Amino acid sequence: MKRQNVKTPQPRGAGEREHRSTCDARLEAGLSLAGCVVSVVAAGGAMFLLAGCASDGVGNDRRFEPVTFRAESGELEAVVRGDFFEFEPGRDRAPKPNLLDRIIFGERRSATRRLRTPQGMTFDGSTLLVCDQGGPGVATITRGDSAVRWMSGLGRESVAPLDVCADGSGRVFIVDQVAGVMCSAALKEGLAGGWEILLASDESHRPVSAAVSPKVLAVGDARAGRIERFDVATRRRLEAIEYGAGGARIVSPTGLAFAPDGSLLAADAVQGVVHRFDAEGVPLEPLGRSGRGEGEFVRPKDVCVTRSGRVVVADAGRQSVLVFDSRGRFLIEVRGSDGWPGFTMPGGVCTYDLEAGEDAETGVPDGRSGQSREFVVVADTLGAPSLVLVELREMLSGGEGR
Amino acid sequence: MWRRLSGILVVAGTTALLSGAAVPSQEVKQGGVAVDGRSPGAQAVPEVRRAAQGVIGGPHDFTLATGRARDACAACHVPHVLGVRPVTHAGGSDADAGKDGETKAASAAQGAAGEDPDVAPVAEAAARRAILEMYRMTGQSPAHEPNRFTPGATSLICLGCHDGTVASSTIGTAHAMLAGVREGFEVPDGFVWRDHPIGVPYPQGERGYVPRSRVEADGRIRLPEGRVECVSCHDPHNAAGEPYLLAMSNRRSALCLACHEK
Repeated sequence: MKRQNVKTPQPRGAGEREHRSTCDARLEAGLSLAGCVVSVVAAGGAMFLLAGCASDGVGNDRRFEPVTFRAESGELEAVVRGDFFEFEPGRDRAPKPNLLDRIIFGERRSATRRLRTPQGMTFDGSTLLVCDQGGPGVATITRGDSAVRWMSGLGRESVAPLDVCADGSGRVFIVDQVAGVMCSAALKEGLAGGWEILLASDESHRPVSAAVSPKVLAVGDARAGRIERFDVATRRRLEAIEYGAGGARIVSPTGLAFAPDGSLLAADAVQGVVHRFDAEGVPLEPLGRSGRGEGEFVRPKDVCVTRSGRVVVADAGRQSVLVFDSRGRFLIEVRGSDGWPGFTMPGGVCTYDLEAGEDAETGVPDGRSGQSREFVVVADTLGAPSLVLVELREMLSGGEGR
Repeated sequence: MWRRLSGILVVAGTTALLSGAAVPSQEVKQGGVAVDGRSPGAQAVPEVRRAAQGVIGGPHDFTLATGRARDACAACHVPHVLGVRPVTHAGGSDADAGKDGETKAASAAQGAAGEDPDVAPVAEAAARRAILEMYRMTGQSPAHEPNRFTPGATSLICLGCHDGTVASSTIGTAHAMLAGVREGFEVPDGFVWRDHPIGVPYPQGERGYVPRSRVEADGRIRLPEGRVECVSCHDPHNAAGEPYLLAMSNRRSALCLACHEK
């Protein structure tokens, strides 16, 4: 089956996109005039016109310029270090690689299939797993591997993946809004077969998020309005969490994350708060609150915790990413500014750490860099760049980053 | 028991607030923009009331879930004065307004209350704007790559929830409309195209389409900035009481035929 252009009107404007749209419009016009002319002609015309577009595209000579956000307290800065623009080989010119490109693809980049609507993500070792309903599927991107691969041979296809987590020992948990929560124990073998449904999506449950610690798998259930918990080893169901601090009901736990100390954080997109619980599920003081002020949330969709304990929240309503310290104190909001257009709908966030002595671009130990570095990868579900890389850097006294 | 009772009380309170006389008086107080003894918001009240009646008890009524009365509207709208942009002087633009619209209703109020005749028209305009802004959406910025099919600001509000997390997905299952966001609606092999695109300009003047003026004539179908968005087919306030929150009945494809000439 050949690619087809859906007959929708094209936008008008200047630039490469317009040129590409014009090509599509020409194609459509050709199709209209041809009327009943068979698709062979259309296909030929499409090939000709697409060839005409080959020198244009989203990539062109775009060069990424880092943008820095500093906490008012002066102790931390967030630097937007790179973004990930899709391009189609043979049609779009490859963009000049930035740090995120190089981390993902190394020096060579040959995207095989695009990320359309990335949401939940996780790093498992050096592999980034990205849920993409528009794919649909879960993309696996191994650092420096120069390709985006898609999970295949699942036995049960993930048709609408929302979130993914991995326990570091080869087990992967995918939250699929149609199937429910699926578990596989075969990441290292390419995820072939062996999928098991832990919590089915049905009239009572609608799993939307997941996080795993060495002992507990937590699953956010938007229909039941609670967080289900499972013993990772036995798959036995543990007591669910229904209320946050002060008896606040959990409504829509769209993002979950475990902190290094075993506590659980749950971004509630409807309540506009990040609930916190200790390792036993006992509510702790929540993070932030609903509102549009500094450090408040409109639609917090996902949350992650860095190795140093900082909490990073992707807020689709604010179209930004907010950073808090381990005590819950607001530090920085990363959002569109003069030098950077910002996020459109940040829907997923995960941490990515580089060990001391590890090369920033390839992850290969090089013995040069002396300190570990904290990065956050943000999935912009509807943004022009599908992924954005943000580095969190502690400031030395005097206001200089290292 | 207590939770259920409190939930009922919350809804009842919200209903009373939005359907009663409390609404206009609150508007005037919050916006502080009464002009000639009559609030420009007075015209807006029936519409607000109509919208509120459709929302309460419907799928977009979050009050029962959260226990907060304000969530009847605040899920999508900036509540009260927080939505009012600063209006300071004649010719003042919105350009310097905060992106989130945080505040300064007072400046609008001061302008409106001024007695200088030269200021009065400006104040009146400011007052109108203030009232309108009071009910504005939460102010999303659209996707930032120019000349590309992307959901508009109003649709981003919808998609902030309808991405499969908070609410049913429009991405992968029900509509599949966003498949083309990154490709200009070029659909890959085997992709099931089920429904209608959004973020595309309405094909005004093209054969097979009803003129835009007729489409929007009765106000049920909206084309924000001349583009087809979520609210073109759906009314989040459910004023028509149609299934799937349709903007109007689709009996005998009436909704489709409102735009598509067959």
